[in-house]
Amino acid sequence: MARQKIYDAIIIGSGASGGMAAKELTEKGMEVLVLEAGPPVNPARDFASHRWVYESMYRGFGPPGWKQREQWMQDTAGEFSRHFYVKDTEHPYTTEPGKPFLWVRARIVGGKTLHWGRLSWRLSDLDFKAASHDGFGDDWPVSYAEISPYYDRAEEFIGVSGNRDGLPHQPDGKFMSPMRLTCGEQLLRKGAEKTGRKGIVSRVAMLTDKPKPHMRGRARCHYCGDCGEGCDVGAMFNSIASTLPVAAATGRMTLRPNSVVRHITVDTNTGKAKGVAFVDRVTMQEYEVFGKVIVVAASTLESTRILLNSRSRQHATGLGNSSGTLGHYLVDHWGGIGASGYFEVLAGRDPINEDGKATGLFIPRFRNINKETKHPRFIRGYGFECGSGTYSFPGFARNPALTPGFGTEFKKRVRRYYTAPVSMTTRAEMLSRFENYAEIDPSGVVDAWGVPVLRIHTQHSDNEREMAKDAAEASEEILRAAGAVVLSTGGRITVPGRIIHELGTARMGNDPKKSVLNKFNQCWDAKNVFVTDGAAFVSSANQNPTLTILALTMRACDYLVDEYKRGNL
Amino acid sequence: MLFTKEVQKKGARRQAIRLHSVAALLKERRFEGSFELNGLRHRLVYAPARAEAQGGKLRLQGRLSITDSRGRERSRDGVGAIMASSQGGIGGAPPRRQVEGFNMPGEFAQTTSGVLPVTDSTGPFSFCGVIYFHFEPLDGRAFGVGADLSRVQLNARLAPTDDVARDLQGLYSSAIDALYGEKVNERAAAAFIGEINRVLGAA
Repeated sequence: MARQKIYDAIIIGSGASGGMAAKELTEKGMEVLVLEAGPPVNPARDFASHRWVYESMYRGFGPPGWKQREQWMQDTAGEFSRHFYVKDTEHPYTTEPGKPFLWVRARIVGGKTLHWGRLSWRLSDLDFKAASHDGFGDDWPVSYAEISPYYDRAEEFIGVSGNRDGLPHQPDGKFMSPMRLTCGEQLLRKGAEKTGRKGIVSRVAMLTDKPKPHMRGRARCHYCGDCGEGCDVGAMFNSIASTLPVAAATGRMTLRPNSVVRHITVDTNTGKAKGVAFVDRVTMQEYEVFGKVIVVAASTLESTRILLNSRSRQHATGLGNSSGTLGHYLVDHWGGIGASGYFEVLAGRDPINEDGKATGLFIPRFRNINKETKHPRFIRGYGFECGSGTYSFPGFARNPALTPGFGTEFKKRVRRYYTAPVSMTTRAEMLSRFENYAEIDPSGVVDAWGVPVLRIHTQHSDNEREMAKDAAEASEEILRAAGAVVLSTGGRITVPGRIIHELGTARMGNDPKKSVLNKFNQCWDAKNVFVTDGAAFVSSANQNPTLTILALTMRACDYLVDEYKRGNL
Repeated sequence: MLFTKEVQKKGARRQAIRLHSVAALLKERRFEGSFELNGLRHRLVYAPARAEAQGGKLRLQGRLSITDSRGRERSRDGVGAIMASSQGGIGGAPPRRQVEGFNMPGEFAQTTSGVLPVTDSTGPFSFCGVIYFHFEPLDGRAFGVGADLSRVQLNARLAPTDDVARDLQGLYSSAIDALYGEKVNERAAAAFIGEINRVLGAA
């Protein structure tokens, strides 16, 4: 019988964290197996960023009813990108009545990096030490000073476009040239400044300057605007263009798609992980592979699902769960609150193509930064993602307040206001609370491969609702100060999950009784298991998490390799 | 390098394929779906004739029909399916019938300073999007299916495109709220289940 291969490391997941872990570990000499649950990617076949909607008989909307029948939770999936996402018919999860959760998942090599929003912000000590600042929850076990070198490395490797804005709570980084603001965004920025807030260019993981030597095969963004359909020139950071090719070039990475992980296997003598059991997505054949180190990077909730399903004598309630916190402190940013309208001064101008620019204006957090900005009714804060410009499809035409009626008059109004819309939407922190959690569904619901699924329990608190009220008022104030005609304000808070920034559930900490991982993403209960994706977050802040995930992964890999060489794993 | 040699799981002999789940869509009163085994497509229709609360769980009983790839249909009446769990829907909620003394679960916050924004699809805007049932153990051979059907899960998607299904989605949602919500209300559950049976029997 052939000897079983034992990898130095098995990485579960090939998205932002998994791809980065593969790159880092193979570059440092480790032999790595990457298990990806989804199918392989062929960019020529699978990416559609240069496909026009009129090339499809369905005009980009897909066959009637497809989404409600098959992918009803895959909110951002479109006709040309739906193959990036899971089919909800095969991937169930359950929730408590009245407390829904919207779980968007990619299952394909590259994961959500194929369609993500690319916004790349650093957290600051206002976020890492938020509990010290306002008394709620727990501080992260790391500080900005410890993470900052890894933010540098991540930004320099992936390429981030942005401006140095000098805001301590929105730290500057290593940037390529910023994308420009449209006329409407500049007007909005002035409106923000009139109200004492700042408006800055959004920072995005896209190449706006000549690619650096290590960015082989990638090209500068040419503003086609269809980033979510798969960037076939590698201008946006994704695993396919960026991390996985570097890992593959070392000759030390084996990538196995279609590998649906059931659980991590454990050495019954030591309690350490020894490998991974998985089922082939297509053939349904069962497999077991072996590795000295396991890196779990399957995306927040999938990672925690794997850990919870990895029960054994030594880990009776799931791998890493001696503290009882595995699955708990689930958060997602929330949005849905904001304001929209139009600039009369921009109406009726000659239209120009402004939808190729895949970023906009960001109004950073202005609440609860210091004593002067302390709000009496909520803690933490929010920012606004804003946009204004001429888009290929006039989405505002569906708003009867702006374009009432029909026929000739309707068309005239659409043409007139085509160049003038403006909108602001919130990106806000959800407090990390123990009672928001995920568990293995106790009633035995399974997915199409028989793997037990998650039951997710989340709801917002009064802190989020008070923040939402403030955000609705502030957005209207800024829009009016900018000279816009306001058509709608307020809204409803998005369902947890909708912003696709689910974080927590396997949090880091300094105390093994209150956390799953130590400050290096290493599992307290099994020192050869690392969880490097968003599951490790202690709190969400209000900034998009992917850049922090990349930085934490790089840092965890440095530590992992060092410990591995010392024989400590 | 792709697809290096793995070790096939110890003891993993070629056993009968197990069908874990079937996705189905509510159309009028029936759940219609399909599944694939060994490259062959089968159609499944489950037509509940009756609903009840059994041990605090929603249980359906009805006719199960499986049509194989050659078009041959095999059916059995009285097949039971017990609800295991559900998934909350997001978006436009179906009309919900009211029962005195019963409030839908989830948040709906008010403070002394006025009404705060609420979270979408919660509280009065909440509804059920999918019900996960476990069929009673089924005999694959009797249905012409060469697979282990001993524990098949029905992923019953509620996304109505007709009035009967829309009515049933509201009633199923209400019954689930009453039976599985934070505060179990058996009286309300009985009322909603009675309405479900009225609709199922109206065919």
